[in-house]
Amino acid sequence: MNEAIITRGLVKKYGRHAALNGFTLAVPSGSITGLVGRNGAGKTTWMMTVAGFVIPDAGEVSILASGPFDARRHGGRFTILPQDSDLPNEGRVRALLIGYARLQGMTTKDAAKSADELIEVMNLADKANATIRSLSHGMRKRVMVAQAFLGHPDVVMLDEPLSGLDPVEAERLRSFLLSLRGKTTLVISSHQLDDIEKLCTHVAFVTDGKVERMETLRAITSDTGRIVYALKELPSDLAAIESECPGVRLSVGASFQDARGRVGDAPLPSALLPSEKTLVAEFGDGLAVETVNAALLPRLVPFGIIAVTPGRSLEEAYLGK
Amino acid sequence: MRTIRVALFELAAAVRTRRAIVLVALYLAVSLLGMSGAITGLGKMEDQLAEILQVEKVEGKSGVVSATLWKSKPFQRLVRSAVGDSLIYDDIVGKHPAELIYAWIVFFAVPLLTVLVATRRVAAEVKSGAAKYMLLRVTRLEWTLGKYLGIALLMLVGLLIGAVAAWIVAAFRLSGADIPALLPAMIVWSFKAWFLSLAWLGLALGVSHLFKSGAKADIVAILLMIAFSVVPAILKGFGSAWLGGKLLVLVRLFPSSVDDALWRSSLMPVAASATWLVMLGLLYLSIGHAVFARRDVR
Repeated sequence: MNEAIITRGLVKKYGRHAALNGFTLAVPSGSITGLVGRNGAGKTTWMMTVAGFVIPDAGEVSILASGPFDARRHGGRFTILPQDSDLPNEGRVRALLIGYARLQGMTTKDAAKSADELIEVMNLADKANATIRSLSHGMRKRVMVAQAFLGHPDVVMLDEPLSGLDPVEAERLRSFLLSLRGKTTLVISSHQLDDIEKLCTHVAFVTDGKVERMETLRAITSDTGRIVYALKELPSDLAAIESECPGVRLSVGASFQDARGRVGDAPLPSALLPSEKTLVAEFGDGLAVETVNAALLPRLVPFGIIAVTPGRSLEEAYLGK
Repeated sequence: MRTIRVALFELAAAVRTRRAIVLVALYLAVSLLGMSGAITGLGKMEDQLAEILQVEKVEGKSGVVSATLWKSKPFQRLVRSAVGDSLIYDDIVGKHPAELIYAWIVFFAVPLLTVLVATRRVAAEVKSGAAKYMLLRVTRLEWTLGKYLGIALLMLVGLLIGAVAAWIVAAFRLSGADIPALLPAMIVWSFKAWFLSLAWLGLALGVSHLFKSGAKADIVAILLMIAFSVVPAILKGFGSAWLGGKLLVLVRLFPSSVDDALWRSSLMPVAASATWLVMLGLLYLSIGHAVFARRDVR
């Protein structure tokens, strides 16, 4: 099985408006796939449709190669963090998580173990017996995320998982999600493209109810004739370096953000990235990344190379910069 | 099995949210106030009767004159005429007035209490989004049936506690050696009322499946409850002229037209009526579920 989720030609209309207009997407197993698109593009409707909450007017859904969502087949194997969905206010965190785990068929012992693990991961140990009503918005969000991972599901869809979390908790959740890479198929919808770039292996651009483009993150961010170098010191004479590398234009990056994120497929811990200035090399289609690197790297070594990031950021690629 | 888990989840949620306490408090209030008020009324009526009949009053205790009245042939004829069904009359004749009062109170209150307790259970969870966390783990049908079962169990508990409370009031305020025997009798009436409640629960939950707003579901369920109480009476009165005799079978689709048999003592008519009420409840529920199964849960 290569795809965890396959949807073909999904259509969902509300009156004359098509929220899904032939939404076709195959989510590779073990991938972390990011959905990127404007408000109303159809990301949430697609997730709700895959989860069986929204009934499509046309099209096909298959989860784990076993047809559309059915709680008897997929309960506990496929879960979702739905957007704008409150947990029962009077439920207590641990009891609620155990209750949900029991509903998906786990034994009481396994349910308690899974709930406790996730309470720890989500840093909710001191709130385990608190009611949902008494929690802050961010804490509730963490409980909602926790319920999606009960029993180690195969596929998890997360609609805006990091919104509403403080920076520390957001980083903790990012680390948790990254730790699942290759083990659990994740689909993440977010307007925070930095997060998508840090977390995802694949990205789908969604526009007007359909997928406009779906590729690996590397393919999307590396195909644009651009390399960003994070350096300890900036060269003073960029023109001299340019003259030795025909076809390459050099400019100083706006901030260290240009270089953060990843080298190749591996995300860089942001703590390792300095806030020094960056150098951006742009070149035409005739030059390969390897060729430009071969020409530039020897000249940049004296300035202390910290990171080399080929391509544009996801945000730049999405916005067509 | 998963339906039972949903039912237990529903029960646990009812306890957490104090809905269970509210429900039991409602049944207690209805039983205590109804019983107490009825016994006070009975006492006053007996005092007046004692004056009219110029017999000795029994100070501070009610029920003695009524028990005597049951033995009076003219009174029996009066009651038989009021009941209108000789089979029911034969079964209730001679029963302690407190038992009949309790039966009347619960049969009267159960539809309203059921509708009040159950109508928001699906609509509110769909609106808040809490339903999604359940529907990821159980099918819509399992969720519907689990909720029905959970609330049904909760109502049974409420009715049984109400019966005990009513019996305690009766024991304090009524005279007679047969008071201890009233408790099992009242529990039996509670079970009969529970079967009646299952039909109304199906209606309330069925309506709840149709709406995303608890308030709308409440209004529609109460209007339907009133209609379901009035329409059978109208059909019984005028139905044969309007619909012809055969179509009068439609009356059987309303709970209030089949609950008469619950007043009987023999097992067969009670069992038939109880079964029919459960089926009616499941029919209403399945209509609501059929719509719910085809609608978006957003």
